[in-house]
Amino acid sequence: MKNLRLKSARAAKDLSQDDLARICEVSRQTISAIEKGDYNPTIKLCIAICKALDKTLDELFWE
Amino acid sequence: MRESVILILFYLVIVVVLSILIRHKSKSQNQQYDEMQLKNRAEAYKRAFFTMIVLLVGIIVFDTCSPLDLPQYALSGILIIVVMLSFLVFATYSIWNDAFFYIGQNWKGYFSVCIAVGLVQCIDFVSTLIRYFNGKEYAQNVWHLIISKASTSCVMTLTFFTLAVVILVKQLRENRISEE
Repeated sequence: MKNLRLKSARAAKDLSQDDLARICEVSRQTISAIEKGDYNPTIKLCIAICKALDKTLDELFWE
Repeated sequence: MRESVILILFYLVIVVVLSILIRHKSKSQNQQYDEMQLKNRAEAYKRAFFTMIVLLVGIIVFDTCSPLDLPQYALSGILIIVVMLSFLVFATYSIWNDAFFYIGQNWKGYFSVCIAVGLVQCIDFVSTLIRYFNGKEYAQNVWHLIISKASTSCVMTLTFFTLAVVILVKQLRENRISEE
């Protein structure tokens, strides 16, 4: 299932997938796969993404 | 006998030097794969491993059951084919799933190396065939040419050109994907 909340939170921060990937120290493809719902990130990466986007885990990843 | 010992020693020296170089390189450089890449690389290793097992079992079954005896010189040629095919499975899967290059690594270096090695092997393959058709070598033993010499350089050529094509197609596809 697509993670549209992550995508919109990233867009709200005016960050590209590349920018977010660099902040979280992962590849752009990983961010793309998470947004497309092709990959379930570990809790460590979820927290890194939440910190980068100033969001909580609930806001981005809880369904 | 003495040449065989020298060859084995030479091989051991290469293995030791390579392992030292790899260890030194991984310490000095910041080569890191992220968690998704590590997961995909594990899957790629698994596929390559099972490809190798299947091919080796196939060769063992053939050697055991077939009335034809494999020529003595054939084994090294066949094993090179097995290794190259397994490597191709690993590399193709990991390139296609963005797990071959570590974060920030430039793909152009690998692409150039693949083209260069493919070209060298292609030249070797063509020159082997030319020598055969000129009747200078292997006139007495065509199997030696096909299994040992020609098949090795042919499979190496195919492997490295295939890798170059996979890298190129993947990068072109990546460049086309635009963020919405």
